[in-house]
Amino acid sequence: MNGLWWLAVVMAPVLGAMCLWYRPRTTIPWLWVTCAPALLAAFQPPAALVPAWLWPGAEWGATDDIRRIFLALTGLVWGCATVFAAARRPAAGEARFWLFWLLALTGNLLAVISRDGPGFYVGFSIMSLSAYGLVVHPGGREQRRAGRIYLQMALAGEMLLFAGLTLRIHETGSVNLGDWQAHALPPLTGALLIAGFGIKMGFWPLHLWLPPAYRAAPAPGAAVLSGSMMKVGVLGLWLFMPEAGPWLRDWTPWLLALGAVSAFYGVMAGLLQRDAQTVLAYSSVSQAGYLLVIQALAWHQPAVRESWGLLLAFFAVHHATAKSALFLGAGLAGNVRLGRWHWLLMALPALALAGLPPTTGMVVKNLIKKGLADDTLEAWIPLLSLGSLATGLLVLHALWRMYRAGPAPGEGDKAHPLRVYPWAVLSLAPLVLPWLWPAMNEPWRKALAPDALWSAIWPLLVAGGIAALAMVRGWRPPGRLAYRLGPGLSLSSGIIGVLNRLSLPALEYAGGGRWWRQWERRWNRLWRETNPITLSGWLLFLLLLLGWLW
Amino acid sequence: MVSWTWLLPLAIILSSLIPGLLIFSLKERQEKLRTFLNLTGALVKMALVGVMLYGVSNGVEFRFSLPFLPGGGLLLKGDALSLQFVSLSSVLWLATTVYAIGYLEDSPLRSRFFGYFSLCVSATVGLALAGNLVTFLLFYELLTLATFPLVVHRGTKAALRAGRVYLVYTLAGGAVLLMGVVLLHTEAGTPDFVPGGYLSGMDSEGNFSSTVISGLAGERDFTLTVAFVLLVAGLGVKAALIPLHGWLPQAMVAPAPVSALLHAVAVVKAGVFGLVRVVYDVYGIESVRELHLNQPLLWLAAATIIYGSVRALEQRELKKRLAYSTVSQVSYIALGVALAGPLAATGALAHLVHQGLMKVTLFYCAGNFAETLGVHRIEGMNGIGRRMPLTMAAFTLGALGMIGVPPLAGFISKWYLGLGALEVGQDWVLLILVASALLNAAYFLPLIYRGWFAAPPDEWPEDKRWPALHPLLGETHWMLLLPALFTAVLSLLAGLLAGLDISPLAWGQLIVEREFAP
Repeated sequence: MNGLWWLAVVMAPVLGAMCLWYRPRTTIPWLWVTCAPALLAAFQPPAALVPAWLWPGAEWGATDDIRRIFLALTGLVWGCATVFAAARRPAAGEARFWLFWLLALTGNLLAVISRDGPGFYVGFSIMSLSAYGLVVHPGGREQRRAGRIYLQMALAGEMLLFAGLTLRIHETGSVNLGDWQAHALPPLTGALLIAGFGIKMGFWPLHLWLPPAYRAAPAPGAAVLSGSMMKVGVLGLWLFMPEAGPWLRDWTPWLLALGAVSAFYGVMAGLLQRDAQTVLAYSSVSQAGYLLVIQALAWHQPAVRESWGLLLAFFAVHHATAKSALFLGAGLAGNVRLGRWHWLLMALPALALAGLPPTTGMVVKNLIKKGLADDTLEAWIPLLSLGSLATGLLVLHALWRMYRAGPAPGEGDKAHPLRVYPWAVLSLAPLVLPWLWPAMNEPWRKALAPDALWSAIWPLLVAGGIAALAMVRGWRPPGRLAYRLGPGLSLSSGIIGVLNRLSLPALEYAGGGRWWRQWERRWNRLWRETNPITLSGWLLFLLLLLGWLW
Repeated sequence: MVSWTWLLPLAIILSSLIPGLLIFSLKERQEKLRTFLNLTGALVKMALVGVMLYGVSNGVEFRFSLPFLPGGGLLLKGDALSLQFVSLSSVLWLATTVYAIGYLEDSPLRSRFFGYFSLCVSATVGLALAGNLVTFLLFYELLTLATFPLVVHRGTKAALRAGRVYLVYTLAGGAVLLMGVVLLHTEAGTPDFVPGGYLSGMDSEGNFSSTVISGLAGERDFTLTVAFVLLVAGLGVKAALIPLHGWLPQAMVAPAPVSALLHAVAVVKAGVFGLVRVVYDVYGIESVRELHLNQPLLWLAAATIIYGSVRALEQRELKKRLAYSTVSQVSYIALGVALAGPLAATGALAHLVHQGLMKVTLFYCAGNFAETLGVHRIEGMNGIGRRMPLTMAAFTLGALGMIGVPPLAGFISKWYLGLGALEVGQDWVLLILVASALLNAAYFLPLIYRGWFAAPPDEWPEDKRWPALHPLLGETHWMLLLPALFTAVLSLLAGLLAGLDISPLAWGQLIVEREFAP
């Protein structure tokens, strides 16, 4: 395909927004079309395009596997979520919601297809800032607060990235992401980039914005935030950082520890929640930990970077489909009567997250385990099984909360088919992807070997047992621990307080006080009342005297 | 070489001077003729500037001189640097003229207003085209005098007070600048501006030598340093460097088109443009660095950036907040100049245009809010996006650009300034840029939030309606709306299409290539 196709990929949502302005009613059901060019480009990648008239160094393309996979997942998740969102009951401010939706989509696509650092940053920023509109959309006190911390942390992330970006351009003398991967970088730049993208990924302790935002956003908004936008952080970290570096290897244990803490913290915090979307949000914090682990392992073993890159892409697709399916499902369960088949379909992505065979979850867990079998890192393997157990508990908890949040029997609407289909597509993805996707097929077969299968199943059985016990015994998280605003929100309002109190002296002459004006008037009167010529004469005389004395 | 090239710089000045003088003679009710003169002048000027742009990019020299003072004639010269400023002011003059015609509809004393308005632009263009320091000084002072009647135009007590403050600051600044120019004149005469600086090309006796750069012997260092400080202090008043910025926030009582003129088209820009001239074309970067003058200037600019932002955050009045924001944003240009490296210079020169486009948009929008709905304070902006979506959209673009959100114009400036700082080893400047962006976000984002997301009041303080050209453009008078949209789109395109040959960035690169040529 021609390189100009990339223009269509980026411009489709923009055009959608324009149509929306003219004819909102007719446009909304067709907005999913804006994702079609991206999906097409992912499967039939056009040649790279160098739009020289854009910012300096701009280059678009997706010739490498990792970008193609991310582009496909972006198109899929956004497409399904768009269909789902279009079938909702329209609320107030619908046009505004869609405008932000399409802008965020544009940014997301732009970030994925950019082969230059600034281009990626442009897309990343458009996406992050527009997503604010999705977080605060329903309107209300809670949304406002969630939006505030989202925006504060997103801006902090942008600034870290801006600094990282500038330093990276300066160090490598190039804006091309390919060059960046080949150049080592100093620890400061690395830390800036990890923190900047980490905020978008949402691993502990940079997750503060994430639970409030996912809780506040409408279900499709949360689905694209967790499914697609978070993955841009993952992709960015992969592309901006070099393949290897001396200090990067030294950091591996720390990064692994950070990932592990994040994985378990997410579960612990999630188990205390009662709102399904919040539980799912904490599950995202937990899963972000795994993505960080994969990234750290890739830096640890640069020799097999290719296979780590593929695993990262697998994990991203796996998490994107499963998590967005769950968020859409939570949206459905909230006000729609669901049948037995629906719940079965709901359980599929949930258990896939915990690594249920034969889903994508099993494949990625197995691959991480194989990667850790490197002798220096073997000690981390048992944690992985424990992680599956913990995730299993969390997703069962999430399903339970969804079930409880649903309408009472006999109430609630019948499910609208345009909301069920996109959700079903995403829900089935963890099951069918290993078949459909040739690259994933082989590791999937290997993971089905009996001993691997057993190690994948037992954590889930234990989790199921604990969950059953909890249900029978009626264990509840203590109510006062349920949705806590956390340190994040108080920090966020603290920042606003500090900003409101900031004050510096005026340092300016504002026309003078009374005293000054008095002297000014006297001076004016002097000139008006005495003879100006005499006065000037005296002045001249004084000046001459001064000059003579000097 | 054709012989008309000497005429062009003069014609560019006259294209606004003549309509201005004619407008003074018009009666108040000769509205159509006045509008015709205004717009013809603006369009003719744009066309002439277009010709000059084409010429300069192809290496044609435009030069017009008259004997004026011994050792320093009146000289107008079109070079790449002056064109960066001339094209900005002529484009914005056109937009602002349209805006002012709409804004001042049915208000008294319009002939006086538009007359001085044109004079002001003539002085600005003259100052941009000035080929040596004496000519520059002449137009610089003319600009002060032509702007004063505009600042006090409303004649209210607050306006008169602001006008007095304006005069105190600018006349004092002008006097200091005069001293600096005279001192430099006694030392080195007043040759033409030379890329790379004429002082850099002189040896210790004041003779030009083409081989050695920087033969500045120690005994002249003191004089040159004093002259530099005087020049910067004089120019710093208009450029609103702290602690000389006090007139700018006061002057926001002037009508919105005047604010646009002060903040984006003419006055503030004249100050920083002078700084650029002094550092690049008078002293030259080499000498400035040797005299250790760029470091203090850098600190001053950085302090101004932070100070202006914090002060903007304190303001609850929209125009005042915008005014302090200008204090901060204009210092980006001074910062880029003081960094004294090619990339930073590119960023500074691009920002000269970018800041103009974004700030003029913001002032148009603030004027629209005030004129249409009577909203002057930040608290009043709640839900204004529902009543005036297009104006609010333009405001959003301008504000996000100021923060430096890509792909708007401000991002390109920041990108080059950041890289420029790293290039010359001044890494801490990156922190200043980040802090300033965060502060900008802290004072602009709440406005955007209020405009789009907060609930509108039951009733606006006032609610004027005008017959609309098109149902979608009906939120305010079309002459108020279109200029705002025009400049907002330009500030988007200046960033998005920065790679085009006609973008401010590309033109900045062209200037820098000529300035930093070995």
